[in-house]
Amino acid sequence: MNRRSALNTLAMTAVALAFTASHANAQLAKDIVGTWTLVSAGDAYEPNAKGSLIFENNGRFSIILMRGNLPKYASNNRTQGTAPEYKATVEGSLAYFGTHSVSGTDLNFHIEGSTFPNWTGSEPKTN
Amino acid sequence: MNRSNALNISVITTLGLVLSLGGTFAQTKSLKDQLVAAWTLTSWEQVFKDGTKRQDFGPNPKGVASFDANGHFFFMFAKPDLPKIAATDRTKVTPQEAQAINLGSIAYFGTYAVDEASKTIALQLESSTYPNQLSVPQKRVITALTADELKLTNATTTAGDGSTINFVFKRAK
Repeated sequence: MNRRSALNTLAMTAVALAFTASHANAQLAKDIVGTWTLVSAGDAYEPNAKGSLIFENNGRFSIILMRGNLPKYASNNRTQGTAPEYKATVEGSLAYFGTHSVSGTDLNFHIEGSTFPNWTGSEPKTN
Repeated sequence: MNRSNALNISVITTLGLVLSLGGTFAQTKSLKDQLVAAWTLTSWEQVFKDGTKRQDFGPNPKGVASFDANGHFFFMFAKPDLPKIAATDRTKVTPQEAQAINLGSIAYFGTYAVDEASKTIALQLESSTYPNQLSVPQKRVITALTADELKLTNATTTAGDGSTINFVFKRAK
């Protein structure tokens, strides 16, 4: 899944859950605040995708998505995983956090940290 | 020491204790109510039984702990300088990149409950980038909670090696 489709999926999920047609755009920033449990994120995190999306009223957000069947590490130690275990984790999970703002129907992120390091420091926009 | 002096000392001692506790825990609201917020990580350090210390996410870690009023939480910690994936595609991560990312980051979420008496947060994990965490009941002890600062300890690491992780957060503005 590329960056745009991942973010679009998230944005659409959030907006579909939070937003009803009768609300004015200005209401979106308020309505989006809360903790959202993932219902669907497409095929990338199946089977049994798990996820959470938090928007706080002070502009903080956090997002986590992952497969429900990530492997446990045989070593029982996070710093002693095997190459296949580490690869499965990176492929099957994505978490990031930072600040967000809403302008019109655009959702703007400033990503402060991400398990996909390419995103760290970036400012993607979705609509 | 006569009785009057002993009483004075005990009063002073009591006041001193109350004042010092007042600096560590605000007293008017429940811990749960004070906890509800987003907290930014300022320090993460694991202390092992032999006294050695390790900072898995570096001296200037990035991270967040979010607790919402409905009992949901999210934790994430990461090194600020994790290597980018050269292929710009998570499914094409190299073994070296995957190792660096896993050593330098962790994220997990679920629901939480606060035991006010023991100042302990019981975490019920929904999922984690380190799934072994789901096998060990996860507890975090609140060692300081003020308007600006939150300190937690974790003695429930999966390795069961008697180590303790100390977290320091500041309230996210």
